[in-house]
Amino acid sequence: MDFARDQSCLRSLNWRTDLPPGGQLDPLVAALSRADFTPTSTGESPLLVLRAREGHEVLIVRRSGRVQIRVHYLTPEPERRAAAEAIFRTLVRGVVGLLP
Amino acid sequence: MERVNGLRSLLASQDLTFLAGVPYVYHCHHYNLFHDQTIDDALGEELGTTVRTRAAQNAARELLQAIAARLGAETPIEIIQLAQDLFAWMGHGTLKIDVDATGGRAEGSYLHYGYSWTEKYGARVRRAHPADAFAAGFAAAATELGWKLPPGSMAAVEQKCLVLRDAGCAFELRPGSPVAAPRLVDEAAFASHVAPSFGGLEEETISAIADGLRGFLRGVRGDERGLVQAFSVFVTAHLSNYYSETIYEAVHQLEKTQPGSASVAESLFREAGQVCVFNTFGNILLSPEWEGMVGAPTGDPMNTLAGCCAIARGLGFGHWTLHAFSPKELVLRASSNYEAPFYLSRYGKSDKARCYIFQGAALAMMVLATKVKWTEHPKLTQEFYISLFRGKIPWKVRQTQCQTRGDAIAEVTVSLG
Repeated sequence: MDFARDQSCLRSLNWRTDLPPGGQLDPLVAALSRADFTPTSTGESPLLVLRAREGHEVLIVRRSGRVQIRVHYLTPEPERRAAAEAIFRTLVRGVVGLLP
Repeated sequence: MERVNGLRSLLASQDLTFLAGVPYVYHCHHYNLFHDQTIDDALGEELGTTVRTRAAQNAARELLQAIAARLGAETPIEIIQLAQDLFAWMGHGTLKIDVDATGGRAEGSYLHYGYSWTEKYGARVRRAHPADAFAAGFAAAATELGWKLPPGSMAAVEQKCLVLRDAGCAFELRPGSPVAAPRLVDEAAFASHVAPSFGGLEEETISAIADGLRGFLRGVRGDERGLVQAFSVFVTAHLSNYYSETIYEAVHQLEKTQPGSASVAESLFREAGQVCVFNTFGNILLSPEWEGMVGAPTGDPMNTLAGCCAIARGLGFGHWTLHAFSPKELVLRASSNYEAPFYLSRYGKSDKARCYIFQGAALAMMVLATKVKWTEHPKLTQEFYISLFRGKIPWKVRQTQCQTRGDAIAEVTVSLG
């Protein structure tokens, strides 16, 4: 899984990764929930949105596995990348947990 | 503010949107900043700020009056509270208005223009004049309505602004000179200046996506800052009468005083349409929200063009259709847009085409459809914009039909120059 800035002009707020194709989302959501993320979208939504207490958000496009990590705007700019990387590591751990 | 959501209406066959009968659209901060800059470039900063503040005051007064009447807000406290809440709900930031019938002060934080200017340009650009004329006009309109004062009787000046490196934004409101109210340009006026709706290429796809986008936007409102961050940009629900009044007042002023410069200003306003499509439409096309709803852009020109027409409709720009496309020519037709109805209602017929945003948007759609490698996840940076649009475009855009000139519809043709 790659980790990079997403297409966005806002300073270090949006980051992108892509889930490996064909994976189940439910265990990944469980992993994010353990990391204090709560789903804010409905189960049927094509875009799964989870929000942490600190305000960070993870958006997962169901049909493609694209993930956008949105760091909360109050996070100081020098710390935004680290905050996004921490969420990325949670995602990777969740994905690794799905591997056979 | 949930009650305001219920005041939205849609002239469905024309893809025009209204709030309490007042036309509104969605535009992002890239467009909003560029739009205001073009007004200042055309008129100079002092007159530009005056024109922008007056247009904001006119448009905001129309909106606040309509909403206050429908929600039963009557006292000064009720109307000021409504104005503050509405301002934030629309994504313009947080505005605290502390006034009486003789004026007072307003303070802003996270104001859309000033804050997003700082986010976009930050330390790279030094600016000498404040950015929040829309907030100034809005505060003045709220004060007038709160104390039942005639239009123009309150004047607002931004004295501190984030873009001037102040800690926040502050406005002084003081008595102004009452003026005659400009002619209302509301839903009824718009409805009287549109053509019967028609379809075009990819009609079913465009229509379905536009419906989906409108559905998404119904859930969009300002966050705790009063900002809307979506599609990787700051979005505002904005009054199209503000955009139209500022553009037409600026171009009329130049036509009257410096006719040789008017065509330069018109090209700037066309470029505002380009900036809108490149940034707003482009960021929407690349957003996870769009990918979830529609799918990632395929790179097929028709996929991009259909997406752009759907976005225009979904944002309330009017009923834009794809009439013809080849790599050499693009023809867009519209039974409605937000420019011509305003022009006709406020000024009457024109002797030339006046839909500058529609013109610039068409040219940009041609460029996005044929020059951008969408599947390679392009970054929509200023550098990329310059590489696409400055000096290398083989096409010219002409508005071949315009309702302001007496034609039945709006039509723009982008063809090899």
